[in-house]
Amino acid sequence: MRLLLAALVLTISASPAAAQWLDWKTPGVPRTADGKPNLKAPAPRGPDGKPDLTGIWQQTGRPDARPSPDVLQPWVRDLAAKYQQEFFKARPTYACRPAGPEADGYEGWKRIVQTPAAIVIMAEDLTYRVIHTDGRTLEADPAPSWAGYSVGHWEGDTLVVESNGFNDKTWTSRYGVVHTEKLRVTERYRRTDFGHLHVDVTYTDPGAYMRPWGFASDSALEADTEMLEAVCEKSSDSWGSLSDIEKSSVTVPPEVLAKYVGVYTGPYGGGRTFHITLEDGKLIARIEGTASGGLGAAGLDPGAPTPLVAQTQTLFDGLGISYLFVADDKGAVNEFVLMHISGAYTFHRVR
Amino acid sequence: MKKLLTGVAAIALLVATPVLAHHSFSAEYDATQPITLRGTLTKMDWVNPHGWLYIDVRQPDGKVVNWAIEAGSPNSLIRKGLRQSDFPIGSEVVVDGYRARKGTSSAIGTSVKFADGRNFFLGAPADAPPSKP
Repeated sequence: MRLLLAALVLTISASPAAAQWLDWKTPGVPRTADGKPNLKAPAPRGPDGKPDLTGIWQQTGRPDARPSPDVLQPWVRDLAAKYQQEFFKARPTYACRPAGPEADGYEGWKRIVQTPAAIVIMAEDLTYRVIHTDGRTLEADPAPSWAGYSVGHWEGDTLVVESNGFNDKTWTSRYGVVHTEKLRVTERYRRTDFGHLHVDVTYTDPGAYMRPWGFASDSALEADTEMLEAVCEKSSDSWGSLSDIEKSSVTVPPEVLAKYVGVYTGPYGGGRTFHITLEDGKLIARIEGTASGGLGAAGLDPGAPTPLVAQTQTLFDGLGISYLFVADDKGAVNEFVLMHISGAYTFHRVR
Repeated sequence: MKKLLTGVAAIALLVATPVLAHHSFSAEYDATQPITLRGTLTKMDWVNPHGWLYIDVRQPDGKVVNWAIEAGSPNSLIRKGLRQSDFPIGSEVVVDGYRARKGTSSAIGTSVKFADGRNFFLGAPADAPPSKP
């Protein structure tokens, strides 16, 4: 632990060599008396009097863009369940293809450049969108494309963007929700003040959804820095599937399973509480409430139970996330370690 | 074992949560196969959302095998002022992690330590909570 702290101190004390692009002061940013960007100043306006969305933005929080299963036509719901069995490895961004209209495409950093005739949104994965604001309307029969075709108009201080012409190779939700070429996306952008951008997104697709659904995304201005590229270079081709987990499962005696039953809290997902229960001889995990990112058995049902499949006497797999139960010196189990691709998170028993 | 895991968790709390690729652990890696590797850095793929390090590891039989290690997010290191040149080829590296499910010579690192004590994962702001799984 001492070594770890030493490492931490060492890293933090490694200061940037010189003030370069990453801390270049963005010109034109209103500042408070101490020189910091005043993100609560009024939103800037262009020569046409409309709000100017230009700037570098980073999404704050992470909306859980997951449609209720009854929003989806049965074939879309079935596909989502199939994709979950494969750890969603067919997801376009996991396979290093463009996110297109996918909800998670609003995540991360974006650079918006606004001119009177067009607004360009550049993403860190080197994809871009053009939103035409020169009065043109959507084409009736566009050639399908990854980014679609977008036109925008102002309703007061809200930029309303309509898009069509998407190919059917992208998803709308990372939970395996596909769409057809009939997809229409409506976005309503509002720069509420200098430092904050809100967008409401609605997906409409008579070929895939029973009714429109959507989500909201908030971003904060990233002043005095630069956007860095983040390009997918390693695709999901080599991933396994849930059936591999089943194949490698082992039997754990009921009295051992019973020791793991309880309620645990920990930091994964911004703070979560798990209820671990034993039902019909099987260990089950449930997330308390409707936690963002929590996966139920069908991928789209956050409140549903997650079966825990034993890989060893202490290690279980719950739909792609590993749960390692840890006994103390006296054999009492008071914590588990949740393992995700982003790291390991310790959960402590609360009852 | 308990102590070790607490250490791993403590490291993980400081891991940059990358923007992309919040995918399942089990899709690629096997939590039943923890592994510690000591080797020499031969190559660094300074790519996002996860960087890759390649290290030559000498096996007990004397044979040298090149391992690929999935590591932290270079962008978070760049934002801390670190550069690829801060991790020179030929450096001694100790990796703790888990093997790939496919049984290839690749692993995900939970800790990638250099001889000077630096950990490739400590790129995130120290106060960054792992709020974006």
